Amino acid sequence: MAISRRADYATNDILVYDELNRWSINGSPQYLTHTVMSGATTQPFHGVFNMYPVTTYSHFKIIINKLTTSLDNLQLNMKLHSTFIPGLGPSTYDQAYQNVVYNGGALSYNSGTGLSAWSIVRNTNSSAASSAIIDVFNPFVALTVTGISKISSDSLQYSTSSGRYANSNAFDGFELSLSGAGTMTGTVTVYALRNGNA
Amino acid sequence: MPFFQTSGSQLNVSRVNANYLNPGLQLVGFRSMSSVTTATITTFDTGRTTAFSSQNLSYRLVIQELTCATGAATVLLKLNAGGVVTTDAEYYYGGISYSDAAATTLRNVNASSTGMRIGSAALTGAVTLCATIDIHNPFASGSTGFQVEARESAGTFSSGGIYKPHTSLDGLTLLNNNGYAMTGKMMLYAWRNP
Repeated sequence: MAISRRADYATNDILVYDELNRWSINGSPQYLTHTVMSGATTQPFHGVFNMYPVTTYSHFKIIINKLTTSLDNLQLNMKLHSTFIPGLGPSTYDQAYQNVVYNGGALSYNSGTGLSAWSIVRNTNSSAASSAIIDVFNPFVALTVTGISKISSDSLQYSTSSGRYANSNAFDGFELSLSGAGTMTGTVTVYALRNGNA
Repeated sequence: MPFFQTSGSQLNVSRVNANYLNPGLQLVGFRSMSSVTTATITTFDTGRTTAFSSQNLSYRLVIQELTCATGAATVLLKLNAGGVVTTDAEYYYGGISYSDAAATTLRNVNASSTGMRIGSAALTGAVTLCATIDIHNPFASGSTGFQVEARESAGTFSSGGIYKPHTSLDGLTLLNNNGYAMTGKMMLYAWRNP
């Protein structure tokens, strides 16, 4: 009997490659890596966008949990990275964000072009944690790289941000860093979403 | 990288564990709703008895085609501790909502709510709702973060926030704050971590 879900097989059934290949390799998103940051000033994630063929995965999700920093009001920045061309990284990030404060403060928004990094968490806190979910599209193909982030913070605000990096280079990873002298603690998990044409 | 076998070859447990059990999202529970005023996850994946556990840091709740009886309806999601729905007003959120028919974007905020708002206050009448809600760290100590994206009958709602108490939470309850009956389906997935 063709196996299409876990309930279709019984204990001690022998599975062959074809059956697992159909419903597991087609599964999406695929878990890639999990990193625990503890007092880090910069955290690299090199090669994470190149773990699978780019024809199979070109859309990634990043979940940041329990992010705290040693100092308040630091920005968490994300920069793309290329293992193949050290030192290469777009110096021009464009972004727009909006910020909503829980306690009734005004909706704020801002944008910028030609930035040195994409600011994905704008106001970190030394004692109150943030959690974020981030989409990154096409980092390792010769297309514009796009990022979209949503962040909830114990510092009583919710932010959404989108960033764009217009370039023709392939970036196989990224780095997280802070806007000032400080350290960061938290967990970062990366997933890959399967392309429809693979 | 996955270990690619040839067609027809058999796989042993170690190969399967190493190369195939890496689904980033795993369905851990679901609930079909038919004219109910409150709903929790009642069907769980093998080996699970609660929605949230120490196995995972983050979860995604997907609500499909939720309809509520006619009337101004606000859909709320509450978290459960020890199997009991929380009743405190410790949900903090901020977001925006915008209607298809109006050019105005509304800001929705609350610094002391009894639940996570899933729908917009701007919309009235019968509500048909689809939504994805990411929930972070419900079971571990510390506050619980969430992000909501929802499409209602005639508009969009996007928000995020926290449940502030450092309480270990093991489940969730969906309800209509006006007591109207709900019909639809919700699926709960767990984001994999080591």
